[in-house]
Amino acid sequence: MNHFGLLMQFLRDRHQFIDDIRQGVKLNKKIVSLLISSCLFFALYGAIMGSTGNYLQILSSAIKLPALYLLTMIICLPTLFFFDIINGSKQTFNQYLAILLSAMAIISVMLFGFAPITLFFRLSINDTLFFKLLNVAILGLTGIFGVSFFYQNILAVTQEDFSNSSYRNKVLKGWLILYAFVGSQLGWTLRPFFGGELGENFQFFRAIESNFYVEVLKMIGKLFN
Amino acid sequence: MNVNLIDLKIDQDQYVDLGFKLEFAVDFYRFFKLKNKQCLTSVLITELVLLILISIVILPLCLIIFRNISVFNDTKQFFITILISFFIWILTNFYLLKQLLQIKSLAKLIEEIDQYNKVIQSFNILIQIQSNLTNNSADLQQQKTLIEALKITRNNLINALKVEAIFRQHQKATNPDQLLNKLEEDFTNLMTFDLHSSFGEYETLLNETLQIGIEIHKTIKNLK
Repeated sequence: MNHFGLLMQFLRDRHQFIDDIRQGVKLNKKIVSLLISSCLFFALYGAIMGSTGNYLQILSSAIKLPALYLLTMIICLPTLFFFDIINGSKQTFNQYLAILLSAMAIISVMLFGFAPITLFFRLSINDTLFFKLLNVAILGLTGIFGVSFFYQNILAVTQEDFSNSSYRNKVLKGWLILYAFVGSQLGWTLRPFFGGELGENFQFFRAIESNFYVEVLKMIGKLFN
Repeated sequence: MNVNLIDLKIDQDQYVDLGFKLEFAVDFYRFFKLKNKQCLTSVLITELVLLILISIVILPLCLIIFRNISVFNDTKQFFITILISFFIWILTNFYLLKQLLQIKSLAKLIEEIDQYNKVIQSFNILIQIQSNLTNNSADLQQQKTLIEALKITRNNLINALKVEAIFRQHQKATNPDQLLNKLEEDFTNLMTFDLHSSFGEYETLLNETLQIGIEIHKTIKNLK
């Protein structure tokens, strides 16, 4: 099984790949390959994020980061699929899954590209707060790229199924906002992704308190103080 | 003669769609039984991702359980999650490796196709070197013969792939021996049916046809 070959094929000729998804060409193989390659890249980046803590934190973050993306997908995709089906979409669930996984593959490849930079800052700066904000920025940036890729391609694949395109655009944008909220809240629930300060014990999960946005604002405030 | 042998390569994906389970089992068989080291990377990556995926599914359940039961500390919680994932991973492997019984011939066939593709690659390089160095008619004749031989091999391998695909479509008869046994059984049943039930009917029909023929013959004679 050459999963990375299929991923390279996708990155080189995205239009053809999306066209194949629209026509349902070898969907299962595409889904498996995108899932496997994305998981590995997310796990690698997660391990770098967790490297501020001990080896348990590295392992834990290597599982948690792919979990964050996959669980967000599992939670949100049925909403979009059934909403679209009710409104006249003729695409199958596997086609929706393949398009969302290809967006995730874009995110994972971009994170893999950012990995040496993150590792460099991890090794050269001993400031956990800066490292956390840097990662939030990288995850946010790659997320925006992935989501815009998904938006363009889901529109392209399903455009023939919907007569009222402006309504469809609004629904899709609404779903993307929901996706972002679910993703950030799940990230908050699955935290910590980063190791704590030096000497702090390993934490697998933390108690539910505050929320992601308040914490990011607090971190920015602390950084500038 | 400008020959590109690459066109003779076989893309197995065009003829068979194995799916995740069978493809994993084929890679596993090719590595452990046929000693194909190239399949090791694929097997290892698939196993690792399988473990990560299982942990991802387990993670929310563990999160819910550990938030309600605060008996274990974080390290223990993490190891319990990993242990459960590992246990399910072993069970999943048992399930996937059960597919090995079905795919022996397919794995060997895919291995042969792989070797055939490698041979094509080597011949292509050789022919290109030869065409740059010499250009005599004996070499051209040899190349033609070689291409013919490769085409025959290619057709045979493709036919074998198609037969395998048909066997897998009808999973009850996946094993060729089983299929032959079933065919024999069906044939015996058919023969019995012919001998006991329909033989009399056929005999009656034949007699009737003969009677009609004789009647027509007599009528024509009378008319003359």
